[in-house]
This record gives sequence, structure tokens and C-alpha cells, in this order.
Amino acid sequence: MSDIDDEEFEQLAVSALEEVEKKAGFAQQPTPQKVSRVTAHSILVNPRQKGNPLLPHVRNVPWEYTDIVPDFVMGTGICSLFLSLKYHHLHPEYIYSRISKLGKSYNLRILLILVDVENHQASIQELVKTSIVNQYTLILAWSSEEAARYLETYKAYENMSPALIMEKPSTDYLSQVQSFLTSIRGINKSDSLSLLSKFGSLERALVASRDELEQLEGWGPTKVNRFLEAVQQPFMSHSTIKRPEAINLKQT
Amino acid sequence: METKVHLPLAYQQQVFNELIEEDGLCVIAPGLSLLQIAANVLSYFAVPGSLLLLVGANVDDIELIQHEMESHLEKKLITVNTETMSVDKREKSYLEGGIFAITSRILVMDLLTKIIPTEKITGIVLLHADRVVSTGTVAFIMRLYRETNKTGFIKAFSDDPEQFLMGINALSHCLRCLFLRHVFIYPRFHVVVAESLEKSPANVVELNVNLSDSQKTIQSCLLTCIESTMRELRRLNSAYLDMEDWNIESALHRSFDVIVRRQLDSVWHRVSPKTKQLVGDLSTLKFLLSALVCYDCVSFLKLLDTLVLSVNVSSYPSNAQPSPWLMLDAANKMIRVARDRVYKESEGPNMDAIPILEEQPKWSVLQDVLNEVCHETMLADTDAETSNNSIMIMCADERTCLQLRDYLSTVTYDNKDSLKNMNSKLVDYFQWREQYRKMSKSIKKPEPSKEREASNTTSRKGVPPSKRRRVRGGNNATSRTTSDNTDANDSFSRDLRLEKILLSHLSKRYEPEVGNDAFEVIDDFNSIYIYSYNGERDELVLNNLRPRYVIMFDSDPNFIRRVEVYKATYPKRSLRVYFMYYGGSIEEQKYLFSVRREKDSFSRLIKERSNMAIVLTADSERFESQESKFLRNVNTRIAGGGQLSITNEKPRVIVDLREFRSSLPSILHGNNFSVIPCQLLVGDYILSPKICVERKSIRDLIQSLSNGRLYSQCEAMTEYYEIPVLLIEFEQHQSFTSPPFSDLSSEIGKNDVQSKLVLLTLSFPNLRIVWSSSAYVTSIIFQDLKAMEQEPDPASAASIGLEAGQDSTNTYNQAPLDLLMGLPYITMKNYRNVFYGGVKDIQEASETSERKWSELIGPEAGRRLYSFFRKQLKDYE
Repeated sequence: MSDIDDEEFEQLAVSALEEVEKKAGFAQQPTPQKVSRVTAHSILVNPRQKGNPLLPHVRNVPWEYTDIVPDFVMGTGICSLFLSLKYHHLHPEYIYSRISKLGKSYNLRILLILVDVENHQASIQELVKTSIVNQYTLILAWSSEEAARYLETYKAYENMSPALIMEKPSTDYLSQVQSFLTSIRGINKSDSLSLLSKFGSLERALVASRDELEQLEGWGPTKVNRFLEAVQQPFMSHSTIKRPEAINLKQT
Repeated sequence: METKVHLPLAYQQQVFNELIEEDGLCVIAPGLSLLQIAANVLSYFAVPGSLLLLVGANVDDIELIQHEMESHLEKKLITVNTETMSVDKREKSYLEGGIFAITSRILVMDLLTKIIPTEKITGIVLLHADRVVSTGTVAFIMRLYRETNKTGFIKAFSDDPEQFLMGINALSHCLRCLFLRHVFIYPRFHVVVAESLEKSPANVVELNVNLSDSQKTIQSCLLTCIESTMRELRRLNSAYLDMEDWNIESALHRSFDVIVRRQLDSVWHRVSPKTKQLVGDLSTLKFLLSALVCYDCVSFLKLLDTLVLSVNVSSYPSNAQPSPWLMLDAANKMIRVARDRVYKESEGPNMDAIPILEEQPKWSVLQDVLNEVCHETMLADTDAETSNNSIMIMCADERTCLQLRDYLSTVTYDNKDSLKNMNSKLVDYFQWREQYRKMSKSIKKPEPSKEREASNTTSRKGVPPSKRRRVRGGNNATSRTTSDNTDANDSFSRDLRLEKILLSHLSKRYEPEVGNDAFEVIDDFNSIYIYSYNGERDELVLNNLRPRYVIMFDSDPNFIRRVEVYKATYPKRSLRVYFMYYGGSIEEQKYLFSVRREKDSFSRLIKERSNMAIVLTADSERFESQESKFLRNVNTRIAGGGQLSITNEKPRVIVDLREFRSSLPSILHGNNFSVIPCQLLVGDYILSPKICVERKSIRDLIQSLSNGRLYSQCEAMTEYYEIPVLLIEFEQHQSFTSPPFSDLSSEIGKNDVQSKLVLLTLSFPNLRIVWSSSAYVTSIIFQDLKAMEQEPDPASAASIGLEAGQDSTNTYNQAPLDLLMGLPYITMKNYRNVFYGGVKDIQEASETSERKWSELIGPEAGRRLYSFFRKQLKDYE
């Protein structure tokens, strides 16, 4: 990242600002035609991103320069603005001009931020707020490679079904047992196996007594307590907190 | 009315008086009757109409304090927990006053919702003060308490001096969290303590027992393994770990693995699976060291086998690599020796095996001691007034208790078959292995190719499975590493044959032996008691039993002090203590190490206190913690000219009950938010009628992305709120400058966190992501976000997602709920049907009928879940 070309960025930004000023008199003009004619398989890149160090890392999907408003278009209705924090510190107004120019013309607008400075807290705070006000999805990347990976993934997964993140992966019986029993804090995979092999079935293992459990190899009293707590405590206790309507909201 | 005080010893009275006079933190050596003092302090203030709280006590503490109060002090301790006391009942009891033992989670809720009249609290007694952290619940409680109540007392107790020396200024930090200025330190070497205890010392006999040769070999093998694991860990993580003072001795210290884990915690999601495995291995190896002296030889072998097998059984690809220590020659040697002390297989064409069943060396020594004691009691006249003739045997855990009980009962009653117990253990062992084989076989079936691959990797490492098998005698556990079915069958039949041979030997071997009638005498007295060390509870046992002889089968420095206190309290009772230890063993080293360490800690703590005093007096004017001051500064800056300065009311945040385990609610409160606890079904924090936040730490994020939970949560948030927010929060000490997720491979991976995050944002284009470097930053971001929004309404927030008949005043218990969510076929969508449908807990769930399940979660899922519980391992054949 050391060889980032600030001057080039600056020039680009200046030209961008000029462009904004030129068009200031016009109403915001999104370019829907362009978007709908997105080449099916490649990421569209705004020519102003020429020289951006992330581009060489976009390897898994093709990309091409096209005249677009955002910096990248990864699919129908999916676009991204790119911002390096280093650049942001020099030109804090740049990103706002880009955001206002882009408007709301894409369904999913990503604000892709490259965290390349040490002192980032204040700017990230500010950008978080901006992203919520302007309805951007904020993605942080810590290297050009990672930023490029996000762009690639958006393109590659553009039409993928969310099944991957929707449910538990279906597995065989023993992995199910393992992932069930290891959801108790302090119980690991080999503990779950020794439990199952001793009692032969879950039904039996879940009603095991304290004495039986303490007999298991590797099960100390702490583990036994945690296990018993998890299997014997009720899921829910009744009327234990104040009714929210009854909470006194006035300050003392 | 004169308040009763029941403290027989001089030092106890001194501690008591100091604490009565002034608020403070009392750090006392373990075993010096801390709970008794705490009970007396509580009772002293318990005049009618007062409201006293006992915070931080666990179940055992509560029971013992209760016992002390009821038997000596004529006071009653009321336990508050969610099962026994509903909110109305709590409100009423608080008004009536009394002494309440209350968990910090309930107390913080009651303080925030003003169920408890804060200004009427007479005082708080805090146990385990060493566990206080500035962003934790207890510190939060103290802040809420001091906010409105400046006069009530705070008395804190701890018996763990080491904790106050971890980190910089831990002691003064803790004191500031508790609003305390004074520390009272009572180590064992304190003059008053020493004087009180050494007036009539107990008669102590030390018994140095030698380890058996095979135990010695195993011990040295284990140490080699530990050393090599540590070396490897150091090599892989030199960047993160501060290992200057690492040596084999520190590795033996009880919290060593915890310390390593803590050092790696900030980067835990980024360390390689190999490192994680190594950290786990360290704990395992340490456990094996203690098991070597505690477990009998068959159980130890079984434990080793479990470890070897679980490597092979594990079906996760990331864990396909066996632990590195298992590859060492030392490990092979250890397993061989461990097997040889159970049974020995003779080489040669004819398969033969002889059972060895080595006894633990302490067993026979114990027998000798009992003999000696019995002779003595027969000669001496019994004086029931002072001590009765009972013998108390103390050992490390329940398992050892049972082991000794078995051992002593077989030697006593049935001499003809003195090791019957061990024999049946051996039979059990073979049955267990059969069971295990079935299990591992069933795993092998679905992925035979993978298995072959795994065994190839092992052979490349120079330890081919076949060779290992030959070395260890043909029938050992690892024979199952091979995917070859015929091979497995072969070893299976070998196992059966071996079992038969061994059993025939066993019946032959234990021919009638010489009777040992000494034990029958004891049996007449009916007075051998075997207990395991159980913290403060041991005090009670000693007092009730009044033993004349105490045999410490395992070492425990704290118990020695309890005996000292007991003896000093009742100087007339005669008492002899036998103290058994394995000379030159790790057990002895560990004991000496812990004694020395405690002494060092106290010395350092005393020094720390003298250095600290000045700082605190200068600081006493301002009762606020550094953090909250910092936050307040930031707060005024942001509020300047903003909306916050216009309204008098504090900005309001509705927080889900479960979030109180994290530090954010406490920080929000410190940052001038009004925190309202509610049971939320959708979201963790509600900032405004529009903004709903789901908070995820990096680890939670990774987990909830892979089990589908986050998707459902986002789905619900999007349904009910205009601006759903996913908050990705880093730990405070976690570095924010380096990437939080694993390295990038050359291709887009389905299992990468980044890929899943992309998929999530694609599915929910309206989802906003907030990245925050710590909880402190989060609270500032919350302020930003709230600036232009309206205040949220708790009643409507709590009702969102509720279905008919469900109640927002109920609370969920986290541990059982996590377990429920861990079940297959239980999803975010159907989990509430389970307990609203009448299934109370997991045990009940396992007994629920198939029909009921299909009503609750649908026919297909119901049927599968039912059979998931019912599945028997033997079905696998």
C-alpha cells in the first residue's frame, strides 16, 4: 500500500469535483440504461479507478472499464463506491460528493472502505453514520486483496441462493450429536464422544445422574455441573421481569 | 437487642471488627473461614427493617452462609432466583427487608427497573471480589447503587490474592470499581492468624509414597509431550504470546492453559487451527498428568484410548490432523506402558495375555495406615466427648472417592476376590471398546476415500498405522484408524479372544488369600468416611464428624488450613492428620509450587497496597471510573449544540436481557444512556422506533453465519424495523488495524466469512453494517445514530415477534436454550414452539413422543428429531 499514488487520486478527485460542479445545475441523472446493459459476466469499473491497487487482485472474475456513475458495478442493481481512508483524511469532502452524485439509483449500494491508516476511529465513526443516513452497506477491508475479494464475491454470488447461510449444514448423526453437545460451554468433541459411547444413546445420556457422569473419563465436577445445568434447567422462567409497560421511564 | 457474633478465633474477630468499622476489601488466605466471617458481618447489620444484599455468592457459598446464620446467628438468608421468585414477590420482599442472596444478573435488572428500592439498601456484601472487571455486571451494580445511595456500606471478600496481581494496577482498579479505599490482607503468615492457629497444632504425619516404575515412565513421557507442545506453540505464535517466563514449572500451574488462552484470545479467530489444537492439547496433557495419579490403571488406559480414538472419529475435515504429541515416540511409549500395566500380551504365534492390573501405590499405604489406626483405637479408650473414633479420608474428587470405597470394601468383605472390582473394570473396558468400534466404523462408511487419505498422511509422517499396531500389541485402539474392513474385523475378533483369555486368567489368579481381619473392626465402628475436597464445605464436614484421624489421600493446601482452623477452634479434640503424597512426582511439585505462589502473591499484594494508598486518597473525591469520565467528556462534545442538551431526559436504549452478559449495557449506562432491560425477541438493542441493532462479536458472527441464526435474525429485523443494523464489534483489546478474518486463499471460498457476509448483504440490501472497534466506540456510535431519532417504546419493542399466548415478562435461560438451538431440525423459527408447547427442558425434550414433536415442529422434522434422541449406538451394526 505504500506505493499508493496520492497525486493520481487527487487529480481524479479534482476532476470528479469539477464534474459535479458542471452538473450542479441539472437534476441528478442516473444512468439506468447503462446499468441494465451490464455485461453479464464482468465487473464494470469506472475509468477513474485506473491505478487503484486493488484491480490487479481481481482475478476470479473478469472486469472492464465502462462509463458508470459508481466506482464498480457488480451486477444488476449492485454497485460500490470505493474509499481509501488515507485519501479520505486528505480529502474528507470527496466521498460526500460521490454519494450525492450517485443518489439512490441502485438497489444495493456498497461503501467499500480500505482501512489503510492507523488512526481510523473517528473517520470510521463518521462513515458509519453517513452510510446509515444515505442507506449504504458499509464493508471494511484491511488490504487491497481483501477489498478485491469482496468485489469478486459480489459478482460471483450475485444470483446465488442464500441457502448457504440459512440453515445448519446437514450432516451425519455423529456430527449432529457433537454439535448438539458442544453447544454446552466447556464440553468438547471428545467429551461428547465419551458420553455417547458410555450411554449408547442420547436419550439415556441426557438423564444420566451426577455419579454416572463423574465416572466418565475426563469429566470433572465443573463439566458435570455445566452439563446438568444445561439439561435440567427449564428453557424459560415465568414472569421474572417487570412488564415493559410498567417500567418507569421518568428519570430520578 | 444485642447482635450475636459467632467467631471463636482471635484473627476472625479482628477481621470482623475491621470490616464493621470501615468499608473495605478483605483478601484472606483460602481455608481461613471466609464465609463464616461474611455471615457474621451480614448478621451484625441485620436489624429489623434493614435491606442487606449478598452478591457474587455461588450455590455452595449461599448454603454454607445460610447454615452458619441459622445454626449460630439466628438470622435468615433469603435466596433470590428467577425460578423461585416472580417479579411481584421480589418487589414485596425487598420492601419488607432482610438478608438477600441474589445473583448479579437479577440484581442489575432489579436496580434498572427500580424493583429494588436502591436508596433503602443498608449495604452490600460481595464475595469473590477478585472476579470484578470494570465493564462487568458487578461493577455496573456498584455504580447503580452508589448513584443513588451514598451511605450504604460495601464490604468485599476474596480468597484469591493472585487475581489482584494480574495486569497493571489490578488491585486499585478493582477498588475503584467497588468504590472502596481500604484493603485488609490476611495471609496465613499474618501474625494474628499464625498466633491463633499455632496454639494447639494438630499432629501431622507425612507419608512419602513412591510412584511405581511404570507411572514414572508415563510421567516423564507426558512431560516430554508437554514440552514439545509448548515449543511448537511458541514457534507458531511468537508474535502474540508473551512467553518469557514460560517453563515446565509454570505449565504445571493450574491456570496455565487459561493464561495462554487469554493471551491468544484477542486474536483467537485468526490463529491457525493448529494453534487452537495445541492449546487444547496442553489442557489435555495437564489433565493426563493428574489422571496418572488419580485414575486406576484401567481407567487411565481408557482415557488414553478415548483421546487416540476421538482424533480418528472426528468428522470435521479441519481436525483431520491428529494432535502432534500423539506422533511423538514418547506418546507411543506412554500408551504401551499404560497398556502393559493393565495386561501383558506375550509375543509369539499363540496368542496369550496375562492380566497385570497394577494397583495405585497409595492404596497399600492407605491399607497400612488403616491397620495402624485400628490397632490404636482398640488400645486407647474412647472419649466420645472430644472426638469420636471416626476416620476421615479426603481425596481429590468423587471419582477417587468411589475408587477407594470400592477398594476398601473389596479388601474388607471378600478377601477371596480382592480385586473383583478391577476385574469388572477390565471387562467393562473391553465392552466399551466394542461400542467405540461400532461408532467409529459407522463414521468410516460414508467417506471411505477420505479415510484412506488420512491414513496416508499418517504413514508419510513415518508412523504407519500398521507399524503402530504391531508395536502396541495387535489389538489396540489405533487399529481402527485403518479403513480396511477386514483388518477391523480381524482386530475385533482378536479383542474378543483376548478378553476371553484374560478373563480365564483372572478367575485362576485370585485364589484364596490370607484374611485381613483388622478391617472388620473398623466395620463394627462403622466409621470410615470418604470425602472429596469441596471448598468451604469441608469445614462443615469436619465440624459434624469430629474425626480423630484424617487421612489426606490427595494433597490440598487449603484443606490443611481448614484442619488448622478446626483444631484451633476445638483445641481439646485430639486429631491426627496423615498426609500422603508421591515423592518426586509432579503432584508434589504442584503442591509446593502452589503454596509458594500463594505466599509470593500475598507479599506482593501487601507491597502493592502500600504503594497504592497515596493514589487512592488523591482520587477519592471523584468516584467515577476513568472510563466513564472519558466517555462523559466525549459526551459533552457531541451534545454541544445537539439535541441532547435541549432535552433533560437521558437518551433511552432498550436492551435485551441476554445482552447483560456483555459489557456494552454497562458502558452505555456510564455514557449517560438510560438503559431499559427487556426480553426482546427481535434485535439486541432498540435505539429508536426505527433502528434495531443486532450485536455480534467476531466469534459470534462467524458462528451465527454458519448455523443460519444470523439470517433468521436479519429476516426478523427487516420485517419489523425500518433500519435493521448489524453491529460487528471487536473486543476492546483486539486489534482493529489487522483484518479480522482468515487469510485469503486464491479462490472464492464458500466457507470464508467474507463470502457469507457478502451473501447476507445481497439477501438484505436494507441491512446496515456498523463496524466498531470496541464497546466504548459502539456507545458513541449509538449516540450519533440516536441524535435525529425519536425515543423507543419498551412496551412495543418487547411485543414485537410475540405470538398469541406468549408473554414478554418471561426470561430465557441461556445454557439450556443454547443446547436447544444446537439440536438438529430446531431453527430460529420453531424453537419457541418447543417450550410454549409444553416441553420444559432438554430432559423432557428427549422423552417427548413423536406425535408431540410433529405437532411442535412439523411432521418431517419431528420424526427425525425423535429418532435423533432415540438412536442407539448398537443400531449401527
